[in-house]
Amino acid sequence: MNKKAFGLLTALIGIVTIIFVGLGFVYEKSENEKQNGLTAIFDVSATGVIATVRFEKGKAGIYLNTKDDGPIVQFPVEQKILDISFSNDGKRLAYVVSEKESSSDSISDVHLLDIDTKADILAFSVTAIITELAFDPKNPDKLFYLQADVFTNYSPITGKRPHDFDVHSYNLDNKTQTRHTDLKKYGMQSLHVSATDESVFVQMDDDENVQSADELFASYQRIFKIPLDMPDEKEIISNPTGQQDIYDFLVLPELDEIIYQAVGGTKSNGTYEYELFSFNWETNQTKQLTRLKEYAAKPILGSNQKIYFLVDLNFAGRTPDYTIYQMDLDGENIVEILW
Amino acid sequence: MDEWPCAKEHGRIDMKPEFIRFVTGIVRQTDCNREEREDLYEELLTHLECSFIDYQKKGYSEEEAMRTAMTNFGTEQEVGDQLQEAMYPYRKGMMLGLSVASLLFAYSVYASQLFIMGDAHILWLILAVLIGMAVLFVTVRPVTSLNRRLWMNGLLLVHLFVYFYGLLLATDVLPPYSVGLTIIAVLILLLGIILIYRTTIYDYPSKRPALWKDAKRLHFINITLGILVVFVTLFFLWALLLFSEVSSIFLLLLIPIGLWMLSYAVQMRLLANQKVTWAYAIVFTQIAAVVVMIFLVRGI
Repeated sequence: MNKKAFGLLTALIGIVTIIFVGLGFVYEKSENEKQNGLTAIFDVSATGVIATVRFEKGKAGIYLNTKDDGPIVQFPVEQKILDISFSNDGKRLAYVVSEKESSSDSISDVHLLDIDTKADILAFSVTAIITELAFDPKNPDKLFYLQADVFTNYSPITGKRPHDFDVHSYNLDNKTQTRHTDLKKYGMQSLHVSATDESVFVQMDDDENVQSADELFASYQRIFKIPLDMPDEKEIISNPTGQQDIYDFLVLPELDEIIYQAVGGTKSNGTYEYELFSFNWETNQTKQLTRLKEYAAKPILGSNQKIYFLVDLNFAGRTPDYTIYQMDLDGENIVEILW
Repeated sequence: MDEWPCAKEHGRIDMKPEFIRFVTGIVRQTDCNREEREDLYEELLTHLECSFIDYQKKGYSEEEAMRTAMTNFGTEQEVGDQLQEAMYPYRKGMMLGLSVASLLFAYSVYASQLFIMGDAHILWLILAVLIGMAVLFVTVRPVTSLNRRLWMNGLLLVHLFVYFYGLLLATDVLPPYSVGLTIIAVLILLLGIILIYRTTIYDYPSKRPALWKDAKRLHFINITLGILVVFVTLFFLWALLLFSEVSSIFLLLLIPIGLWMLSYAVQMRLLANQKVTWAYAIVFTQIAAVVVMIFLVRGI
């Protein structure tokens, strides 16, 4: 190739590269703007309304029943909705908002939304990360929540995450906050409030009596019932000797059952398959309810005695692909809820 | 020069400027280093001058003899390509293939990342195009001073690192686009690795013929170990970055690469000083250490 031809080729490659660089500046999206679609946050009201949190070009919003109606509330791309919870009568929806970039100085704003009038009020704010909300079925003015007091990495080989969890509540009537536990748990999730007595149910590590790092690694995540007047006398209500971690659950007191999420198998590429199971604490019987071989999560009891749950069809992929399903209490008639 | 009968017959030959320009053009088409170029240059020039003298003896005028000698020789491009192919079979084609495939891959993966994933990897694109162009440049316009093993391997190693990142970008694109791009990236990296092996072992061998075989063996083992060490290090770096933020602890990961480079340099120095046994002792210790590490990791 002679000098002139090579010079022309170099110029051509230079021009093409400059065009691609220019396109890069025009079409690049920020991480916040890339978020789109359904998140893992949803709830079902006593009146059968399904509320979901969706991203629309990075903006988090709450949608009722269908996305076509548009969001009833929506926040700037810098903020996220961490959880939502319907009141027992289904007329109010509590939700918590915080910055997407979490830190130990993050502020969590808890809002109350009137489903009929769509009036939205800020109930309270705390300088901490509130990860979950749940109304007290016995008292419509009491809202329980899980609060993480720090956002850090306790090990140099892990990223920063919320830790030092405890159970708190907020009285909407007299506007007072109460801290119910002093556990400072490394992790705590799936907050449920008992409909019959003064206690809450949470999932956390069964690591109270561990003495060494080996014992800590060998411990399992289980479901605990915490009496609010004597939080130290918490008890395990999932299978206490079960050899599997439990991640998410739903308590069905009238059936003496819990429906929980656990690993059900492994795909050929090594990715875990998460399924829903039921455990009867009277008979100690465990039953596998789903066999979707995907990532089934977050079981919620609907007013029609159906279990609603999420399935991530792209679990362990770059972006999740959530779909809502429903099934009977015994795991029969699994159908996808179309949006 | 004495091997040419005409040189013996006519003694000193006057080099014609036309022949010098013609032969320079031919030699430029090859990947020879400076020493090889000088030999080739002298040989071609003598051949042309002898041919010129023969034609003059047959009754051609000076200008006719000169033109006929060059015409019968072939064009600069043809002769240069034939010499290149004879001295380094398929090398030019492999280098050309590497540069063109690399450039096309760079634009494709950049566009896929931009329009499918929303990420503009501008710095990587510029680096990938520059390195692709550099490989193209040394292939179609060889520079004598650059055609040494160190420079060529340096270029190919930089290419390997830049396009390994390209492989990661290709796997990151949503399927099914990621499948095709990943296959192309793997093929480009394999071609780059093959070129590093042949550049080191075959194209630019040791200047001491007695040590050629030992040098080839040691280069082969060290390059293979080097690729293994670098990719295992990158894997651990990726795994750490997945779960934590950048920390000075990550510098510890560079220790195995540093030890490998030191060991490679020591072996080559020992070989240059004819201490072949010591060089082999080090390389076998190195292999044993890697095997022990593999068993330890499997045990964990």
